Amino acid sequence: MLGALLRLLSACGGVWPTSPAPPARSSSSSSAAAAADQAAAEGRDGLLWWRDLARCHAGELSVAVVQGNHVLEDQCRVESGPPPLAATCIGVFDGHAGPDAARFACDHLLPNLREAASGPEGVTADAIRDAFLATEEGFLAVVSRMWEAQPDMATVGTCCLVGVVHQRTLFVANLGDSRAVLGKKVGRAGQITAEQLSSEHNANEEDVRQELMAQHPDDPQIVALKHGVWRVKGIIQVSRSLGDAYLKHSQYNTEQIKPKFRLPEPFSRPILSANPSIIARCLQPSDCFIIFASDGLWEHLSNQQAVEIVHNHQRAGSARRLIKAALHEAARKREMRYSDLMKIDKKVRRHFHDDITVIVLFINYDQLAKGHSQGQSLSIRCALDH
Amino acid sequence: MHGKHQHQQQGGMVVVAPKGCVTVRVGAEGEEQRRFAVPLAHLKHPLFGALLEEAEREYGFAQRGAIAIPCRVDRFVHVEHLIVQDLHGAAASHLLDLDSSSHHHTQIHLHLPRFAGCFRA
Repeated sequence: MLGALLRLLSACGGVWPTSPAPPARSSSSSSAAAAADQAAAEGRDGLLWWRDLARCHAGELSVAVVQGNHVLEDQCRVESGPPPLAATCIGVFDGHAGPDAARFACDHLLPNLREAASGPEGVTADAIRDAFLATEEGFLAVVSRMWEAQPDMATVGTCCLVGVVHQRTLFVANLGDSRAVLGKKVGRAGQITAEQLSSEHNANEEDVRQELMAQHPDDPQIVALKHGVWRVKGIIQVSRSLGDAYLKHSQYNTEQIKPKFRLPEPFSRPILSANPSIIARCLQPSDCFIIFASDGLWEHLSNQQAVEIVHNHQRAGSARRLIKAALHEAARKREMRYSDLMKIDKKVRRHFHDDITVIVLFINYDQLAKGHSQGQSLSIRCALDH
Repeated sequence: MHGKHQHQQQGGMVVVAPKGCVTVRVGAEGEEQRRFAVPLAHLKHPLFGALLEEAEREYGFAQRGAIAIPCRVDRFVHVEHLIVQDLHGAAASHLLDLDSSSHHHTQIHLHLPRFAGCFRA
């Protein structure tokens, strides 16, 4: 009996070694000091990866990702640079039904934005919209090309949340249910308060269901409750996404896709849209930071809880701290210990939490107001294996 | 007052599985759910994986509380028995059935040594 217990102990204890950060796919300025900085601030522990703090055009940022799916479906990217595009660009991509659409969006959306913003007007809402639509078009071309060999590509999709700080303007563009939340100071005491910047395209929102029903008046089944959550056609929670070709073009609604994605009837107009919601905000001195995160974070933390966690601690490690807070909550809900949750293998981790991506951007208002941006360019992508 | 009701009625009490274990709620349709503490090492076993896949098909991932497994209790106990035999040889031991006794569960969790809560010799 004792032998069995000891075997069990070693089986439980030895599964998750802490390993140093792998060679980063991200790069910072060429100076050796900056490289050393980066190595110190980047790390990995099992399914959690982080970059605790990095300087960027708009200020500083903190990034962290934890894997919940057997194959990581979240992707994220930061591009910040000096002219010609003096801007900090952030992308959070939460894929579904597979990682392919999120990887494609992560590879192409910010480069497409750079191209769309290369004209004399620079970054505008129209340029951002063009970049989204160009990325969608590019992905649907891949789906079309691979249709015979890999029909499952027609059923993968991704939420896309993009934030851009250009001069003193913040743009937030969104498809799906990731969320950007601003932490801003109010009152003389400087308390922090949360303001949600992105609108969510999730059928659990009453106004999203109303919008879908108005767009599809002839379809009483456009939204349906399944597993206690509202889903478009009883299949998918988001009403806007990149990819999901099977809900945009009826030609993919055939027996070649998995039965769970099949619709009983052909359709004449797209059911999901790739048209992002975009807001532009003139940044104020009281705007302290913005949290960009996939829905995996927000199912465990409220906007206000999240901004208080960021505000009440040092900047470095903010994103990782938010993920840990969400995982503590996930463990509590599943009636288990956080330390045990962290030992669960990626094969079954999804039963406990989703992939979670968090990017916290700390705004350096004075720097933006003076037009003195940091000269160095910054490029970050999550170094977790797919 | 037993098991599930006790958990529900204790309001602010933190319900948590013994260290090294996860709580699952087991019961087929029409059967009363029972709670079990399952050692983490079992989760990776293919037989347990099949139970989790059934849970995902039936309830999705957005379950509230401990993971519910749509499976008859006697079948679940049998599957657990097979997993224990597979992982630890013939020296089979028992699951902790969180609903089977009227003990104060919090005390059990706090005072039993590591893993004794999961396995009774």
